[in-house]
Amino acid sequence: MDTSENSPGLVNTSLSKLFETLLNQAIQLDDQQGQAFAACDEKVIQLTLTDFAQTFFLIYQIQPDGHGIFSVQNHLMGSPDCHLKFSCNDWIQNQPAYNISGDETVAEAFIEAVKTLEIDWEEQLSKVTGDLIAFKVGSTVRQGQKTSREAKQKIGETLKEYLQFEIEVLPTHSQINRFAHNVQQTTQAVDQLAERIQRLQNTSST
Amino acid sequence: MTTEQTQSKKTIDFGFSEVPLEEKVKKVKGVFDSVAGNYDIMNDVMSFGIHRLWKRHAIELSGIRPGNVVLDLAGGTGDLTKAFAKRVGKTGRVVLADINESMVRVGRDRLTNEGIIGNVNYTITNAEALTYPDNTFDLVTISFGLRNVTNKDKALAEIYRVLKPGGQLMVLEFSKVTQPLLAKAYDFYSFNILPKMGKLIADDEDSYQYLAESIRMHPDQETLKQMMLEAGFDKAEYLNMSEGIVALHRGWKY
Ligand SMILES: C[S@@+](CC[C@H](N)C(=O)[O-])C[C@H]1O[C@@H](n2cnc3c(N)ncnc32)[C@H](O)[C@@H]1O
Repeated sequence: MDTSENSPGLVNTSLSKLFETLLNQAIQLDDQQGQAFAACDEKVIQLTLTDFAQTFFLIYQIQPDGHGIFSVQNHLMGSPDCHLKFSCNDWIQNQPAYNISGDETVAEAFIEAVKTLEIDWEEQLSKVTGDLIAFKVGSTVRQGQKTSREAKQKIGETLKEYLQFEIEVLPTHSQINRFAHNVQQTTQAVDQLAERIQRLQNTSST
Repeated sequence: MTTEQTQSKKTIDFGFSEVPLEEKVKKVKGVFDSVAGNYDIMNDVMSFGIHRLWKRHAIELSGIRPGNVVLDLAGGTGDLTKAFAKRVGKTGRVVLADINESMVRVGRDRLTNEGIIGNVNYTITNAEALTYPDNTFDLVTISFGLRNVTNKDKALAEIYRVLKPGGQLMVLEFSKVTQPLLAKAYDFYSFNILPKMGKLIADDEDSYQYLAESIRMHPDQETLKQMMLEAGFDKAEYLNMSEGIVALHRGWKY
């Protein structure tokens, strides 16, 4: 049996890493250093973005020095403590509706804690991906005049640019193009992912 | 002839050279004593930072969760241990085990400096002779370590023994490049550029020459999978990353 798999797995890995970075940066900047998440300590929260068919497992741990960090991954042995499903579409329109299963106390504590974070997504994204890309998403979300479909498309594009940038920049810096082929494959996978996102957007808007 | 005499006649690969069986352990130790201080920088340079993505992918696939007990075998400077320690939490435990004291020292200092304390143990251990009771770990990982182990079958059987039923082994290791064009470029890189970079950055051409050779001598994807099954694993599979430059093998004990 050939169980080989290639780039799409690595793309998902990059996405969860991006998500983890954003979340932890937001906690670091928070006045309370994420204390609101205390009820989530040692818990696993599964987050499913219904319109992107994407699922993440978030593990929150309070470190020995007292500050908490999230680890984000897309696989889990066993079941999570709770499962939250929501659509980015609703979230962008500021009408978040969650479908909760499992331990409701943990789920609700998590939702409340996220609200306290006051994440400035634009600034956060800019730290990770560079100002230009963040400005594009930020202005789209901020203006609020654009349709949510456009906003989502922008987010999709931003992620795509981020991944291409992250993955391509490494071989460009070097003189040797050892990973040229691999980068091409990954780029294709990212394109496919973007296409998939586009298709999902089309389906959800019809 | 005594067993000892027979043993000293037996030889094994050390990179492309053949050395007496018991010599390999000493030689591998020499290589890692010599690279320990520069190991992390070299890893980034050699793989253009992509080793982080390979490792991250393995960590994600492990599906690790709070409360798990993990053995990071040949754990070296602790990249995987660090990620697992953050995930298993106060109720879990990670053991970083490596045969080389210098690597463990660099790893322990680095992790302690980064605030990873409380749920990690460090031990000097040979993968071929684990001192843990049967059925101890939920997960055993050996990342870029198996190719240095003299008796891989013995190490695999030991790992199987210490895994809990339901537990899994993850072997992250350089493997056989599946794409012919890339394979050529990769060979050129490994044998011409990599040792030169080793000389430039770590002033240690020989160790990096050994690393390149040991990668080529390591069993390919299917062979390693077969070895895992023969060592007792109830299920084994692999996935290629970056066209097989690296493969992740997973084995389960039921
Ligand atoms: C290339 S390093 C990998 C370190 C780390 N796992 C990583 O992924 O960065 C290989 C490690 O294997 C260790 N090693 C070699 N033979 C071993 C054995 N028989 N038992 C345990 N560790 C061994 C070496 O000391 C070295 O630290």
